[in-house]
Amino acid sequence: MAEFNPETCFATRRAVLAGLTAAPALTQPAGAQSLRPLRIGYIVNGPERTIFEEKFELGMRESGYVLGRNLIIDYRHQLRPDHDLSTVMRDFVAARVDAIVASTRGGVLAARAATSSIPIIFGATRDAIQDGLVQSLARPEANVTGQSFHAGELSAKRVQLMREAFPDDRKFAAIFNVYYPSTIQIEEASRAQSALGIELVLRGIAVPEGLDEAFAALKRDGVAALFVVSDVSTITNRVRLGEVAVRHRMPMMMSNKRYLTGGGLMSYGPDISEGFRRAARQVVRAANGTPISYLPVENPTHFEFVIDLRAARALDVEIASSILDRADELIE
Amino acid sequence: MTRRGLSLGQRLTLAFLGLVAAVLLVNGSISIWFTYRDATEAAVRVEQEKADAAADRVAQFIAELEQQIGWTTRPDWARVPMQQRRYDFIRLLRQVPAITELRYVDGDGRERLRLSRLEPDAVDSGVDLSADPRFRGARESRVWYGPVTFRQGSEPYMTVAVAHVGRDPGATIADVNLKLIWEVITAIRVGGMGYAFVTDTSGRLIAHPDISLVLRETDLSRLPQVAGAIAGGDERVRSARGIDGRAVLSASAPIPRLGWIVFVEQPTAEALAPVYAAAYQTLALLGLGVVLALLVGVVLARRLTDPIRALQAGAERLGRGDLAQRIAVASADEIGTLALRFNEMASRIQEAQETLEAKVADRTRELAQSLEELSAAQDRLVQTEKLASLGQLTAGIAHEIKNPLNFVNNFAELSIELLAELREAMERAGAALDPALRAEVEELCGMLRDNLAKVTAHGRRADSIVRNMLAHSREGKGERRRVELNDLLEETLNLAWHGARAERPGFNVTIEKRLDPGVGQLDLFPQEFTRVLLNLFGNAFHAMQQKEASGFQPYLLVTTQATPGEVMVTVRDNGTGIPDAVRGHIFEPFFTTKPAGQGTGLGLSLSHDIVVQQHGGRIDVATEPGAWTEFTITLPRESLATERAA
Repeated sequence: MAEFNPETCFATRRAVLAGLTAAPALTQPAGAQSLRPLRIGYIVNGPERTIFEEKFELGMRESGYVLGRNLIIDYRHQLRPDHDLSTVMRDFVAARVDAIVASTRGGVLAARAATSSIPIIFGATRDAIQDGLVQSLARPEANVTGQSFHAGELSAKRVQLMREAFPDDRKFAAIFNVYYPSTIQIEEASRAQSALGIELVLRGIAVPEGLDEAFAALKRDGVAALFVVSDVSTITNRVRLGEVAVRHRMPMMMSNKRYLTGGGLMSYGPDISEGFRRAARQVVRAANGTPISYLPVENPTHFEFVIDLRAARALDVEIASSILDRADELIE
Repeated sequence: MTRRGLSLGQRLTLAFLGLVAAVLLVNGSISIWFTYRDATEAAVRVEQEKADAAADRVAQFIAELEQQIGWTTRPDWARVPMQQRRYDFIRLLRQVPAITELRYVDGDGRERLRLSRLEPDAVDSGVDLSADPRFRGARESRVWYGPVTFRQGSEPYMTVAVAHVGRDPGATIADVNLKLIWEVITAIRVGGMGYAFVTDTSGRLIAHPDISLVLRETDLSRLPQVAGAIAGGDERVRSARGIDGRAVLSASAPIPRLGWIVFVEQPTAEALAPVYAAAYQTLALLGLGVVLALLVGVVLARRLTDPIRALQAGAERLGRGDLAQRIAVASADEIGTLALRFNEMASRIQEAQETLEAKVADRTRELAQSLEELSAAQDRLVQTEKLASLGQLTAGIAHEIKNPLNFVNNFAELSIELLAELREAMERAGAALDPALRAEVEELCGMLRDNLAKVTAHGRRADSIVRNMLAHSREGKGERRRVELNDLLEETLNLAWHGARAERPGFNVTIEKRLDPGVGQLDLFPQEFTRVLLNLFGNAFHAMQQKEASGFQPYLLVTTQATPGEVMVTVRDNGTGIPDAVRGHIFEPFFTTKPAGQGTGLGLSLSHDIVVQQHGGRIDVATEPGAWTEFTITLPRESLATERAA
């Protein structure tokens, strides 16, 4: 129980001290860091830079590390979930980076295969334990820690919200990338259907090329709305997804606000980008010597239910007022 | 003389230094102690206030929570439609982000509604919670706070159950994510580095600015301040180690309703910064004081020890014998007086020393003179002794020579007579002899006669010398008798001449004798008088030998002259003469100008005694240094003899 013992280990004390110094509560401007810039190997989820990277850099800045001054981030892109990252990870290890940030399961596993000493931080993961990245949230045992966000549990919640938005309908769907199905989310979503008394069509789709055809087919089948299982392909193709949804007048329940580009109708979930900001602090502490076991996996506490009224108009759907009242944010 | 250890000046300086340092140190220590105590008390007081305030705010956080939940516990809530209840719950969830899950349990303990941020909502699930501690707790105490649990071993949660109002009430059960207290706790700041944290009564960390510590389910019950606060005694632990091992000042306040404890800690280093400042100030002051004390001490000690050192140096020089040394000490204090006395003493010693030295010099001079005189006398005595033994020797030799010489002389005379008899015998032979043979024999006889005459003459001369030697060396004064003075003179002169020749074979001198035949016989001690004459002749020869320069012809004139009552004998040489400085001393005993061993210094002295005392005569000297010297002896003709006879 009392595993934390300040009397036993100096390294521990120092580690915690380092942790305290970098803790957000004690915002010491850590500007006077060592002369050597901090090097971070970073796997971007998808082909483009996103708000996550901006939030990560913001978090680094808040800890006193500024790009170009005392911070070097080596951005590499993961284009597909099965993208082989072993070469990239070898590069990172050879370049002696201070930490690796990877926010997909594949990325984290590749990093873990490449090094057991360099800290590996995930900015977001669907569920750290279920994805097999850590055994314990409180005390990550290896060199991996980061931000988790209850993706599985939330899938059911999302299906419920979707269903309540369309109380008169009974047929709904959940779509996912047929090549890399996220089983946790699909299973959770599927679990919800009986309790809600609905039929949930599970449909794997080749994203993005099969979207049009699939949406047309679902519409023909009388699906009232669909839940989009989040993964790198859907987030990358979110605009296209929105366009297809509007074209087929298909309301969509998304995982987070970022999907709401005008086509997706609703989203429920944590603000994942805030997780990247918190992850930056974990990166700083780990790179400055705090053992990973002192950096528990963090979960979000804030979940947003957002409804995009633009999309509602574009889709020409009526949303029950009870649902509108529940929304934390309405996008006009 | 050097002594080991510290000098007086150093000791004085050290004493001064020690005194000042001690005063400063004591003063500084006391002031630091008070500052320390005040600062500690002030810091702890501030922390205590902060802790109380923090406890209030955490309690308020929970109270607000309770109040928000209370909105769903109004009496009519049991009658509102489920849709309305759900709406109320949704609103509650939106208003209170810390609540993760909400349940409504009816009076029978059945779950009627469940809303979660993560899970799908459940309506009328009918789960029986009548035996659940949450339900029972709410029923018993209206508001029930569950223990802190860590979901998945990480996130701290607490359940708040509030019983509804009315008969057979249901309850609203809320799962609260305590991570949200983080904002409350983080807002508490003490100084620059102070922080607050919350534990439950078992010491488990509920809230801390470093959320990682909370998520690790950290147990702090081993920290003394936490243990102390849990024990709840009056003795609160004020100074302790923080979670990171740093020394901290700690204060705590309990939240009795929740059984939580709020701690406020500030690193000791920060809290006591004024104490350290005071300590540094004191140290600086101490250092300054010590330096000043050192300077003043050195100056004072120097002012005190410099005269002493001057005194010491003076004493040292005096000790080494520098008596002229005086100590220049201007001060009018005891040391000045001491120096004055010292100087007086030195001058007295110097005076005494000088007198002593003069006396010693006198004595030494006298002693040296005595020593010199003594050694001269010793030399003369030795010489006299030598002469005496020489005289004896001479007498012996002369005596031994005299017998063979008598034979030589007698047989020479006899041979002359025999030659005369040979001539008579030849004449008696007459013509019996060949005239040629006769002529030859007569010629040979003549040559023999001549030879024998020479043997006789020289034999006599030798005899005369031996007799003189005997006469001279004979012991005692001898007897007084009448003596032919001129003969005595001639004999003595002869003897002296031979003596001189014996000494220096090459020595030649022209001797002129003007002897007055009228002198005749005189009543004398011939032996003594001979000594006088020998002495005068000897001196004359010596003076002429000394002079011998180129073209110098030694010349000695000896005259006798008879006057009616007196007889005068003069001996004049053309030698070196007598210097004026010497002239007055020549008749003093042991006075001599000859090198030691060559003259006894007694010659003229004895001569004077012999002439004046024995013979009642006079001896005078006339001289011209570098040219000539003339001694004149004047003897009475009769008076002395009669005196002596009488």
